[in-house]
Amino acid sequence: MYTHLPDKQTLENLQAAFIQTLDAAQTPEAITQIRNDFLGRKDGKLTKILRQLKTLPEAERKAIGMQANAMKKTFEDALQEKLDQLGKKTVQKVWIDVTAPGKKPNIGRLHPISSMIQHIRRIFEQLNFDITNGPEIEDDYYNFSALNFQKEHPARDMHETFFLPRKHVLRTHTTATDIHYLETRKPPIRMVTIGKTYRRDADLTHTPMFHQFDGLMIDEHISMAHLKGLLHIVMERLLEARLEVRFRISYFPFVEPGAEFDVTCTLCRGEGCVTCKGTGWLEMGGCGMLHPNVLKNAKIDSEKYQALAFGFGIERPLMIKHKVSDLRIFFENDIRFLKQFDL
Amino acid sequence: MKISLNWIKEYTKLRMAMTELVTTLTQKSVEVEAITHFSELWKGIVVGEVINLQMHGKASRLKIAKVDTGIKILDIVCGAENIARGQKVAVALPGTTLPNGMTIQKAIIRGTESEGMICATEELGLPKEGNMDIMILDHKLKAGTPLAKALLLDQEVLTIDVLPNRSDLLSHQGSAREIAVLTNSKFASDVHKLPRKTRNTLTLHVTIQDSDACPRYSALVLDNVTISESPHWMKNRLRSVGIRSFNNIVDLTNYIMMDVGLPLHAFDYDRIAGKTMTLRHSVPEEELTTLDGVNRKLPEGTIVIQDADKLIDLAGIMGGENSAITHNTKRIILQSALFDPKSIRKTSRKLMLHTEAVQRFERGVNHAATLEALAKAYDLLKEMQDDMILDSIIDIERKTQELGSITLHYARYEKIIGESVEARQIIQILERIGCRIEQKEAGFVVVTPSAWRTDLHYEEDLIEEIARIVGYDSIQEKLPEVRLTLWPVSRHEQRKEELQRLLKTLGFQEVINFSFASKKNIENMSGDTQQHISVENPMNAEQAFLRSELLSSLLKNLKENQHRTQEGLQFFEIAHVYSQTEENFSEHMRLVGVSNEKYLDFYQLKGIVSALLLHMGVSQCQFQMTNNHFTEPGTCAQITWGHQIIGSLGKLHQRIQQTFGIENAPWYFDLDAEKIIDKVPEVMKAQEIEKFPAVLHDLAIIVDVTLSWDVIEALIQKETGSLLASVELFDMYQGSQIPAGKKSLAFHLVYQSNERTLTQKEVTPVHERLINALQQHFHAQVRSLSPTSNFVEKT
Repeated sequence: MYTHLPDKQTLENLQAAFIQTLDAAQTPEAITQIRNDFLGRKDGKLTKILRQLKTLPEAERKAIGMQANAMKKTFEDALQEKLDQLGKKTVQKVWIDVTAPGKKPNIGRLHPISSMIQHIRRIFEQLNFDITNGPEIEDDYYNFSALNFQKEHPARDMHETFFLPRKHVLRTHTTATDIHYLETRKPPIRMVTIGKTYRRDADLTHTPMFHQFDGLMIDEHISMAHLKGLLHIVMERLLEARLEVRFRISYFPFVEPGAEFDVTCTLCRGEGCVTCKGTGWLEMGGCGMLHPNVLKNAKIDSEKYQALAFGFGIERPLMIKHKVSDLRIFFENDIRFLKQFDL
Repeated sequence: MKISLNWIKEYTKLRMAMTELVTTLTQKSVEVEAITHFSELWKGIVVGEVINLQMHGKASRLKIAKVDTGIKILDIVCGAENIARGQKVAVALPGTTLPNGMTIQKAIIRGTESEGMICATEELGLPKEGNMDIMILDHKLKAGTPLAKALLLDQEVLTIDVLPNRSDLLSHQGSAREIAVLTNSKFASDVHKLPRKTRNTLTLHVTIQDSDACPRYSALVLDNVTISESPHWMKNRLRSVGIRSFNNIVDLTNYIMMDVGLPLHAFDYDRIAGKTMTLRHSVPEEELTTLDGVNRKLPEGTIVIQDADKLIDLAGIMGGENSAITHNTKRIILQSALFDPKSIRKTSRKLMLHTEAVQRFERGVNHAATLEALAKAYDLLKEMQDDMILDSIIDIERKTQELGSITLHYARYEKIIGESVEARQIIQILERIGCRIEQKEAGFVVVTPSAWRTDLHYEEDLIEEIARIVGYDSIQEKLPEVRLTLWPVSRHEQRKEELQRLLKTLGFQEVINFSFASKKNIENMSGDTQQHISVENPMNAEQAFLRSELLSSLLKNLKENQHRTQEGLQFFEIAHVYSQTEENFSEHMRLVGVSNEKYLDFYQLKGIVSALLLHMGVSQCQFQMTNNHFTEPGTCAQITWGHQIIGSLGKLHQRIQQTFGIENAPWYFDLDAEKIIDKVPEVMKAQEIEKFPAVLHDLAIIVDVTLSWDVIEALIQKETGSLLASVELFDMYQGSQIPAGKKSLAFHLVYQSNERTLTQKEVTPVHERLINALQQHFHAQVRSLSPTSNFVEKT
């Protein structure tokens, strides 16, 4: 077969053809094809030329050889460059609609009250309090007498009580558990009880079962000023908002002095709204300095130690935080309601 | 309790603006729940005079009244029976909105235009009196005067929520005293003394059997009394604080109660047989018809008053009908007695009769004031009826009020409150609240509290008084400085949280249900109500018992949610369940999950439960087939851990599914959360990763359906001995490819040594021995899935 020996012109033609095909190439596969066509070991067009070099006359061999070798390098660089370019463009093999929703893994949720309980627990753990819970069925002593509720005193009417046989009750406050705790400990004490409580009451803001947290701090230099300071930081963390706080006179048989604890309404920032009944304040719970009779019942020297005490509902901050107006919905377990609390 | 500021002003000046007073009261003494401002409430309501009255032509019960309203004479159609010419009445002019929200417009009533409305008390937001009778005003009032001004009710009425310790605030004198303290004003006390001279012709012999029940009994016997209407000022004052007017004597007793705080009672002297009164505790089976016409069976031990032949009074709670005053009464006994607060409260609760008198007696009233109260009553009545005669005064004091002295150390105040108050200021405050200063020293003060402050007993009580009056507001916040303590790990709470977290991750939504159950509910689960703790005073039948299981609550949740969503519902709850034995009550934490996920099967649920248990450190649980009344036969497994039963899982019985109205038969699991949570996880000892490659074999066997995997697995373990590292069942099949009554099981076998690389030569005989054993023991058809096993690194 007659073979035309390569000359300068041949190389120039080849280069022109290479550039043209390379420009047209749009996929990495096309680049591979071009590489095979021009630089393939067996049939590459430039490979063939390089192979023919030895048949050239001595004089031409050197010049053409240098040119052809340089061209090989140029081709390789150009191919690589083009390939990189195409790579950056992301070539789509599969069409993914990234805006379409992902498949939902089956993950459940905690009840919002549980989440709030965990939140509260975390706050008090960080404040170096011991966390506890106790029985929900109590006798008169733990729920009332030990807490300085006299027998047949109207103070007992403040707690609409569910009575059980044999003079037992469903605990009306978690404070009942505090006495159990004190029976086995000596000051200094810092403790919080969190759990279910029961009162015979049902309306928009009351359910027969609800949750409370209740705390005591007993030490040698504990005062009402500490109580105020402590509750302030706790409430700010709980409601995740900057707040003003105030104490207001109140009466709970187990504390003296006693106070109602209010925070600025987080909904209207204290301006006055429906939730705070125009007062600008939200009632959060009761607090005070533990009554000497209670300390006496717990065999703690009330001359030496003072005790701050506080008790709050858990649903109340939850309602405020999530702007829920009807407490009962927390116990209806409607999945459409619960689903919203993706925590 | 409603307090009228017009009334308060008799005793002290109001030196604070309304809003400031309300805030001060709320923060320092008593929460103000509502403010009634009659001037605003009655805007557009004026005094009118009925100058003419004619029958309505078209309706027999209606009348047309010509009413002079000062500026204009209006025609008003009125249906009240008590309307008469010359009366002064309350007229709502057109455009007025009444307290009940109704707006008065000119209207055509049966063909006649009515240009306003003549109001009844309840239409004015006052207590209802009579059957839609209009309110008749003092005839001296001037037509056209705004009603609030005319009735001397131009000041606000505050509704206060008096706490159980402050009985003194349940009266206008007490509230005025408090306001005087808070606003630094003078309190003008109201001194009344009974005449020294009495006639002493009407005898009354009073016997007190138990001085605890009645520590003091005071009474007046009054002659020549006429029962009539009270003066307008008294009626209106009572009405403004929510008390309806009856007649001069009843109104008088109510007025003294609202004014001084002592509940009085009036008997008709002539209806007292033998003119004797015996105060005693009731015996079983006694009954009394009280003033309200209700016949009441009295609980044993109720304090009662008896005359010569009958019970006449439910002391301190409500009078008896048989001794009450009537229109014809001429002689009365006006009683101001003290009764044992505990006894009064107990009876009141048992009879569910909580009167104004009870409210005061149960908190304790001022012992010293009985005669003063009677003196004021006498003076008021004398003003109304000058010819009334004071016949005799009875005052039996069996027990005096103990007013113990209290020592307040200033250092103690500082210790409790966190900051100090000057001794001078402390003493001043104590004096203002009525304490008598007994002794003043450098570091302390000794005081005797006033008789009306029945709540002051301890040093702390005085500390509170000072702190609240100085103002809780001024207490500077501080944070306590404490010695850090490393508390014992509250593992229980931590592990409960871990359990909740795992269930959430496994796709379960947490729910929280009430701890109650109904009788029906218990019977549905085939439970025995005997073992359930009953609630003695449930709010409804749904909550008559404490629940002994959580499953039915969760099934109710499923039912209530199934129509709300298409997707499978998976719920869990961790809560106490309650039960009783003969000696005691017990409560125990359990965890129950339910799922109506369509494609869920036993093995998936067992996988979930096993994973849960494993992650909680409760390993090597046994699952055994069991049956119970609420599961489909053959779907239920009991879970044991060591020798303890810790739960079960299974598919709900169709009957239960139907009872609860659930669409897909749900699966459930029920675990002893207490045992799981209390398990102390062992400290894990890390093992070396096997260095030598494993030999893998897969086998499939066809055996009888009834042959359980634990039996097969035991045989595999036995035949392969120490050479086998693990066996894992990965497929179970029953169906068309397999003969009936048979099942195909496929499993991976991993042979491995931690000492050397196993050779085929070592493994093959063991593996073959296993195949033989399977054939021999179980008549298994064995198919090797990987006959020429490769040496593969176990991953």
